[in-house]
Amino acid sequence: MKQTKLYSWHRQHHARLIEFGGWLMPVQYSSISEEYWAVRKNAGLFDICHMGEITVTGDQAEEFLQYVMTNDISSLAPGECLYSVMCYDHGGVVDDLIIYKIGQHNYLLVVNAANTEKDYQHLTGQKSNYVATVDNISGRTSFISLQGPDARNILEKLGGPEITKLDYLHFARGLLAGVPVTVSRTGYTGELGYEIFYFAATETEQDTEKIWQQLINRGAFPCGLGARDILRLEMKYPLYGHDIDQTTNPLEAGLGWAVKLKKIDFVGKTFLAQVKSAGLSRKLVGLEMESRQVPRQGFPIFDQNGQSIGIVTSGTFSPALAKSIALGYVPSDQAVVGVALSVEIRGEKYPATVVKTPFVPSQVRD
Amino acid sequence: MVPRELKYSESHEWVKQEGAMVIIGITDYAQEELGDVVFVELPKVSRQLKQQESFGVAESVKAVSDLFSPVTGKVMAINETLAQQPELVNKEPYAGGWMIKVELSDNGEIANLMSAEEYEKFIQEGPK
Repeated sequence: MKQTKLYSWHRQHHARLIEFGGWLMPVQYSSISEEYWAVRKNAGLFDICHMGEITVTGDQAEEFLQYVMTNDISSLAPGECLYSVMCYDHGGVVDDLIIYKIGQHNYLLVVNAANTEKDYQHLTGQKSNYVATVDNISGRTSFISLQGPDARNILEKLGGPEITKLDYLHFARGLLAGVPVTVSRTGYTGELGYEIFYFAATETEQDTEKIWQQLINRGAFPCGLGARDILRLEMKYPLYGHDIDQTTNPLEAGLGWAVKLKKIDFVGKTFLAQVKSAGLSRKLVGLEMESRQVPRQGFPIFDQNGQSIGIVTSGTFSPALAKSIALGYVPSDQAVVGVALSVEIRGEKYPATVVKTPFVPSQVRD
Repeated sequence: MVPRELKYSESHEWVKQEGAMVIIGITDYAQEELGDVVFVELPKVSRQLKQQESFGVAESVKAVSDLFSPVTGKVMAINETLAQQPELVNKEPYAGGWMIKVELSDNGEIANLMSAEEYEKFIQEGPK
């Protein structure tokens, strides 16, 4: 199993470690709810070194990405980033990712850890008609995420305006605690947040730990994947392998805003255009439970007549709402806010209501 | 850390004897392993429990865990507070986080449970 550059720090600080996407990652340090609240009320710090990084460069890098991605890459200026989905011809999701435009012919893709190799193969397989080079640089970079309402204040104590005054979905290079880094206004929590990473070939374990420790010394609270999963679920941010995968299409997952059917051509377009004109058969919805039992992935969803109509893809207990919440696919006619359904938990059905999402208001543009 | 006056099961419940009654909860080690408890399902009062029978579940953010009765007997009371404050299982596993009171059918079962010293050794070394 792979270890991040912060592995020894995690061990020293008694993190509970689990396997995630081929990496040994901290799931919690203190308590998941304490870490959760740190992010919602102050600032939390996540080791996200496990995320995959793939570069796409060359004269036709833009045209190539425009072809393999569902979102419109041509709208990006250098220093901006964009969420996109990458689909198969049959419309299933290869991965969801963030695309960074570094320069005219130079892009960085940040992808899900477990999908990195698959994405790299998919990209390589699609690029024969384009003058572009695809490189998997994962593992050579360090990546940490500072999230929460105090994130900017903390960053200002260690870095200059070039990295602290960024707008949402923008990034820049700068010095942080004296270390040259790239910082983006991105995240997976719904809070004001920054993700900090290095391209530098000389970057060492000491530099990663130095930044990590300095951010903690300035008030950031170390957080694990347990809190991260609750935070993203409250925002209805899908998690690959749970809410989206090769058997789901981005339209039914509620990611239609990142699918630009007006583009001339892209992988999956024909299928997705058909799906759109025929109408969606099912949709990913947010469910709020009346009881505290946690609906988990794979639990069946029932309609009012007791018919099994869908499956929970993610579920948790929301500390902000003090209720259990879930995501799941249900037929479109049931995917309407206010519809009463139920989820079977350990043999018994418990009431669930389709609610507006995100479950908790987004603060990403603060 | 492990209270001296209690008895312990291999499934990490503690038992406090008060005459013919016992109070049952889960140990500090168990709550630590489970993580933040968000829901505790307890049996109905007057239910008959057999030793090692599941009497409910404790559900955390991470996982669901069955709760096993260390003794045979009749449920006389449940901790109603846990319905609203399941986090007491984490904060006060040996006090406010207690789960059920059971009237013992067989006093002898208590003797077969682990002492504090034995339980400490058990959680350090794992099951034999």
